[in-house]
Amino acid sequence: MSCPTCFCTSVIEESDMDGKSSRTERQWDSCFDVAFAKVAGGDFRARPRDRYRQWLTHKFSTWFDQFGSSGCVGCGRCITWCPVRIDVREELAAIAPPIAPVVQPVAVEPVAASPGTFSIARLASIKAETEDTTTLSLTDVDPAFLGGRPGQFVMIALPAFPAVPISISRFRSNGIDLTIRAVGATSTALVNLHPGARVGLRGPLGTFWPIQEAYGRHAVVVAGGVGLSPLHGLVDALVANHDRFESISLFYGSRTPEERLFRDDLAAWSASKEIDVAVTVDRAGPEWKGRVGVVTTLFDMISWDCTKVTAFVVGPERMMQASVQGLISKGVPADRICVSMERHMECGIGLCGHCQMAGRFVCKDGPVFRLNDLGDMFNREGI
Amino acid sequence: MATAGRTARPRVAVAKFASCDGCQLTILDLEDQLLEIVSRFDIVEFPEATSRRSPGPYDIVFVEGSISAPEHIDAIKELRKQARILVAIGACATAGGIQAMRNWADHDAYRAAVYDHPEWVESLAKATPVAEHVKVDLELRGCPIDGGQLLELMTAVLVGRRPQIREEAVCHECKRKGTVCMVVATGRACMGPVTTSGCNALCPTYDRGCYGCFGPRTNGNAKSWSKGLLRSGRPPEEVWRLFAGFTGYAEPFRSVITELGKAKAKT
Repeated sequence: MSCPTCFCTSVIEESDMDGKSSRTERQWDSCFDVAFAKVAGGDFRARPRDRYRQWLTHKFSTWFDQFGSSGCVGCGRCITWCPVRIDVREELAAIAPPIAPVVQPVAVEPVAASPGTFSIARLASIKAETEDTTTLSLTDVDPAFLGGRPGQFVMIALPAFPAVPISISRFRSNGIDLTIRAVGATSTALVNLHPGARVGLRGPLGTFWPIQEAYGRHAVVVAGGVGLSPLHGLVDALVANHDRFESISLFYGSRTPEERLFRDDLAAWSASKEIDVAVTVDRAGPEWKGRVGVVTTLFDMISWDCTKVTAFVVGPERMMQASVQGLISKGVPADRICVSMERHMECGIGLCGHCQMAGRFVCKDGPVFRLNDLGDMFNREGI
Repeated sequence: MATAGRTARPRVAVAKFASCDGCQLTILDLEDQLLEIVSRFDIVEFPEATSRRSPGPYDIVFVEGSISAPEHIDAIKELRKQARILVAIGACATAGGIQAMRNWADHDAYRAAVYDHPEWVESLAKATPVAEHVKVDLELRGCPIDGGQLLELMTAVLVGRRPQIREEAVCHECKRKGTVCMVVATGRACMGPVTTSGCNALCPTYDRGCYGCFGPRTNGNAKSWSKGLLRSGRPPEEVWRLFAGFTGYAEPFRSVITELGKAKAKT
């Protein structure tokens, strides 16, 4: 009813008590109203999604048949005045095939984007994930980080240490999580910090997972080792919007049971009905009751129509290559597979040139790429 | 069902249980229509208005109030037997009312806090809507009910049709009136999206958020709305209070309150 082209009304008969005379009143109404399509014997559009579908397809499709024009004038009132922030553009993207599938540009303006500047954040808590991998929960972060998207990363620095790129593994209401494997000097210093310590951040940087392109499809997440970290936020977002997907699955391969990240979250996801989780390890002791083998061995569990799969893959490059090959041989379209690449980064904004893969800056054009956009760069050694 | 010596006017009774009598007053407040009402209905039992009493059976029984004391249970069952059409009126009769807030609390502690001599008070541990005890044919929502809806219901019963009472959110009334949405424009809390209409958006018209006295609307997604209110930064206590008003015991508000109560207990 915020829509300037809504014309539907209800006709009310106000009768007097003897039932002999009545006054007819036309009252503005909406097809969102629960009783709008009700008749004495039942309701043609009993479910909210039926009523929403009616409104959406009327404005944007059948209006053309009726009036020769769109029922949307583009005013944006329905977006502005929706108390639960439904954006009709996102809804349309969910049901229409994308016209030009592109990984969208950065959603928020990063803060302290230029090297040398930093936005200060505070370390709220530390959680050991595995022997060498640790999750830092940061708080007091600039709101720009909260507006980041799964798949994006930050450059994080301590005084006297060079900044390192770290994927945002989780978005919380008051901060972000970074999951860091201690492999170098900066990462080791970072995981040895104590709560309360202050760190410098730049970001959020890079491209993000094009979640909308998986609307109406089977979302398949394939993770290897610490590759689950840039996928954690994606899984959170998929689960939060699970109604939009045909199904959601996570295939996770780890070297050993002890090296699995986010074990509490894996257990919670496994228990939820919104996502199917399958985990395999390369080797394990007798106490491991799960699957053993590389992650691609889990693909025999895929029973659905693979042309309707959108896949998100992160892990070591060998693992990603094998996974992509496995998915394509199952029938997943190559333009429906996204990967996240890792390269040496210093500036994070496409200036320093360290991270280039042929013509692409992984920091700016990636780290999330559609397989097609990488072309033959993906499977080549030494790129 | 004719009354001796008169034309066939339906015999009407108005009864009350635990309530403030405000809904019954809404009947008396229909001053311009009262003469027409009594010319078409034979109001034989209405303790709020007259000390003249008449036993059943009745054609229509309007019931105000929730079932809150032990003797209420037999009384409502007896009324049901005497009634051809039983109409629950108001938030207490349809949802349990404000007194149903004790349904989440320790009944004895509540009683001791309110009364000097709690031992004199015989009340049930829970205040419940009429429909939990007997079949209800029609209901009018609100605290108090809306006079216009009452008149429409009486007219519909006389004419023999379905009352034209809308099943929509309060939002529709705001939109029709051109009242600017305070949730979107100012970020204030309003129960309008999950509350059934009928008040002509009374509170939002006077720049105050709807507090849900007409109760949950059909198909309203109360759980989602509670999440939205939490997401906007409100503490669970505040959201709990928004739902735990006059109609908090009606589903799905009840589940939201119970859920938020758990969240509160955790923190």
